[in-house]
Amino acid sequence: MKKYFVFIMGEKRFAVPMLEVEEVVLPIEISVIPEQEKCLKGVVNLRGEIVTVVDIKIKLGLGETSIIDRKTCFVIFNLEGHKVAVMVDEVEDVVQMEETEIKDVRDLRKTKFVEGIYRTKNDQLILIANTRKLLEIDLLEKIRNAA
Amino acid sequence: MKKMKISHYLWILVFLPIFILSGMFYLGQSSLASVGNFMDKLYRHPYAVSSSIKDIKGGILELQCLNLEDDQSLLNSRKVENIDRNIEKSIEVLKTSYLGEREHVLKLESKYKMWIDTLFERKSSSTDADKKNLHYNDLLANVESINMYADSKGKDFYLKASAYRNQATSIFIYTVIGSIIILIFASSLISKRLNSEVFAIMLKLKRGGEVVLNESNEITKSSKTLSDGTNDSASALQESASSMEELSAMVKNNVLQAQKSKDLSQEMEESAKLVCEKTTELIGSMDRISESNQDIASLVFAIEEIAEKTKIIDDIVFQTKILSFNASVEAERAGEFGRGFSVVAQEVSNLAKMSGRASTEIAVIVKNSVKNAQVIYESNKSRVENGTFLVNDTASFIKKIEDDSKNIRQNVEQILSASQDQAAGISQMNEAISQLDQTTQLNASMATQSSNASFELNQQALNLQSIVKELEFLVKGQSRDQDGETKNDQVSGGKVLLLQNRKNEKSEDKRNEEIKKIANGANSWDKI
Repeated sequence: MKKYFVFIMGEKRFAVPMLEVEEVVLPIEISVIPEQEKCLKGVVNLRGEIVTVVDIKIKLGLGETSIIDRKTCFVIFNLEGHKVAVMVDEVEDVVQMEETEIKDVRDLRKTKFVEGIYRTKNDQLILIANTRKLLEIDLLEKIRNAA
Repeated sequence: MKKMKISHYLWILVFLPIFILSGMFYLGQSSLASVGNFMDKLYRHPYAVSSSIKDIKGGILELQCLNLEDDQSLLNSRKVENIDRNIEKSIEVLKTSYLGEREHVLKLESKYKMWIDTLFERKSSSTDADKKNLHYNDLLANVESINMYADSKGKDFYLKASAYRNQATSIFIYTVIGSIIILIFASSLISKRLNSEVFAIMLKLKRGGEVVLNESNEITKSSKTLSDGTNDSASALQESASSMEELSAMVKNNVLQAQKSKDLSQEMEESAKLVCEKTTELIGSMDRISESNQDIASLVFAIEEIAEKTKIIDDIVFQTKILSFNASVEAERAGEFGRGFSVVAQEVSNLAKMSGRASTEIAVIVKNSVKNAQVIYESNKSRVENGTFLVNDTASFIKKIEDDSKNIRQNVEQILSASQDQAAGISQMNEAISQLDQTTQLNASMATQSSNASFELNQQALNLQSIVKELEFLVKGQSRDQDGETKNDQVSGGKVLLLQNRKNEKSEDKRNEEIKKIANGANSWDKI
């Protein structure tokens, strides 16, 4: 029984382990930093702390980040010491999932970050995402290491 | 003796006998005078003598009777005196009237006196008596001789008078015969003269009568034509009058209709005005609808404000969710120690979810309401717009109708006045036509009268012809005529005078034909 954090991106439900999520905040103004990497959008000032913003929509094949909706939030991930802010369309719920109920789809689909699929009681499909890949931690590490 | 008046002829006829008679009279007069003379003489003398003698004789006889009675008293009475006186008177008369010798009478007188004296003597003796008788007889004989003489004289006179009478008679006879002959001669002359004159006049009358007949026939013909024409015009006038009446009725109808139209158009105008007012009211109410629509809009606005507030609630819910997420995350981080907190977080999350759901529902309701309100508003608005548009259209149409009806009313008023003028004109025309009709009827009656008069004239002309014919007969006799006319000329009252084969001139024949036609036409008058 693990708690997963479910959010909606491009009308698809994604879930990430709860432990990886640090905070959920309302949208903050992104200070755009021109980067070669398109997925790196810029930075935000989170209570004095500078946090990198990653645009995962490109990864998900959903185009650029769209206009900020009312329900748009920034989810602050903290993974391997990296604090990343991700703009999500909607934050939905915290769901407890059994490991057994998660279907493993790593080999089924050649996706970069979807690890599994969970069927809820309401027959909704939640895509379990690999946070590391989703958030380009590698890239961030590269950048950190480079800097 | 040309061209003498009839009175002259008559004078001649009268005076001729008068002359003859007077001649006769004159001639006879003398004879008659002689006769009268003799008669007179006869009366004066022989007659007078006879009567005196008679008286004397009578007196003498009476005296003698008295004497014979021998009454002395009687002899002295007045009677004897009277008789004596009478006798003496008679003797006087005798004296004057006796034609013979006077001596005879004197002798008689003396003898009488002698006798009378002897009569009165009182001496009565026989010798006296014989003397008396002798005297008496002598007296008587004297008287007789005188009487006889007078008689013979009377006869003599009578014979002479007869002779004269015969003379007068013969004179009369000769005169009468002569005068008869003269009269016959003169009267035949005169009658011939008169006849010829009368004949000439009769001819003229006849010709004139024919002319009159012709002319009267002409008049008949033309008055018939006039009458026909007048009848035609009267009937035409009747038709005109009747069609005038129809026209008048139509115009009256027009006037009525125009009046009705005017009233209708007035009503229409008023209705249009009313409609205009109502339309204005409608527009007003539509404006009010618009206003209420605006209220709906404001309601919508209020609802939207609710939606706004709901949004805030949504935000709150959202933030609460985020908070609960964060709390969960922290609780998860806290691990064991965060379990209670995680429950709280979960509850908060639930609450947030519930709120969220409620808010969502509210939002949905609000959205729906707003949508409905919007729809209503829009539909109202569009309806109001449509309505306003329609109303404006209608108003403009109504205005147009009002104007048109005003025009109509004005036109109808014109029509009405024109129709009234027409009606007036037609009534005038009616009057004129009725007058004309009267005049025509008068004309017709006058034509009838004139045709009747001409018929009468015709009759009179025919009468004249017949009278002239009588006159002609009077003058010429009934068999043959000098002019060679046939016997077949017949005239009877009322029948047509057929003039056949008069003179063989064509114009005459033509005239005859015409006259026949006219006469035949005139015959038809009998049927009228």
